[in-house]
Amino acid sequence: MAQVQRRDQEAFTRLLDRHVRGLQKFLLRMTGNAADADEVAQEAFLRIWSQAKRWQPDRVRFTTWLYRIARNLAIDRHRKHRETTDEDMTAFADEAPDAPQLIDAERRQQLLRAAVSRLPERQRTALLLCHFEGLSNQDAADVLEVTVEALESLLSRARRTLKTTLRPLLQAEETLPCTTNQ
Amino acid sequence: MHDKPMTDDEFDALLDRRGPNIDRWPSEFALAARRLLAQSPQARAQLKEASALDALLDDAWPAVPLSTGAVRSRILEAVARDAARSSWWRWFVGGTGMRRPIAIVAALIPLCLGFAFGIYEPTAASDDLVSDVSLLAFADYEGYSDAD
Repeated sequence: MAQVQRRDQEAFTRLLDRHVRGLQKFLLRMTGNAADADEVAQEAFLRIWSQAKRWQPDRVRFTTWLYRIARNLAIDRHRKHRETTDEDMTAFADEAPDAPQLIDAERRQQLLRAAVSRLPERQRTALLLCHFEGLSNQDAADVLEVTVEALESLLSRARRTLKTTLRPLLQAEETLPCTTNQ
Repeated sequence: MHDKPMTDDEFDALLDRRGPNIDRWPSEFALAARRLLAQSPQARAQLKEASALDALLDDAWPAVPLSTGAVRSRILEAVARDAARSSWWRWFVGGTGMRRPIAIVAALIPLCLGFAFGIYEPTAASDDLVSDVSLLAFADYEGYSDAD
């Protein structure tokens, strides 16, 4: 990143290659739309290039800074296109999952994504960062610019809401063997 | 938390805050949680439910083909354009060696020209010209008055 601050395009390319795919996945889950995810990812990296000198390594990790920029851009974009962004998801969100055996895989995924998309933005982002991106609670808190306690409160509320919303699907999942490390 | 045994409620709250992968919890919480799991069927059920939720979330977004190559190309093209556009300016202000004196001279030229024009004094000839123009304008005004 120090080289990028000196306008080194090769260093920027290496940085891009290391992070672009992960950022696209995060944004796809956050926006629910591949085109939006691509555009926000592009804008975020151009912001990194143009504002590289603002990054202070002693204050925030690069990944945290990147996700913070991307999240803010995604929020701005969502505000501008509010009427279209969530329509696809909310079409499913008010429906309670039926008996799991009657739901095909694609519809099941739609219901799951809808349940996540209905979470308040900060809860959703906290969950995406910690669960999918594997950020530590501290790093996720830095992205959201909140304390770790506040981040954990967001995570807690998100998981409790999902447990309630997805109860029928969860009961089916619980019949499967537990794979979590103990 | 270090001395007291963890309760089912505390464990459930930690599952919500930190997720079901106990290996990622701080060691003091992880140790207490493992002790509780060895004794409490309710804690094991809570862990199973939390793990099931994580498994569901993993299924929510299957591997979607991403247009990473296209996005990467667009970003690099934009960066190259920006770098080319700003390179002349950086050459100007950030030069070293012989480039810096050239930049200083180039910056001083308009300054000197402005100063030169500022201290320029009109010659006698140009004063005469201004007087002639003034007289003509006065004559026109007088003629206008006569017409009234």
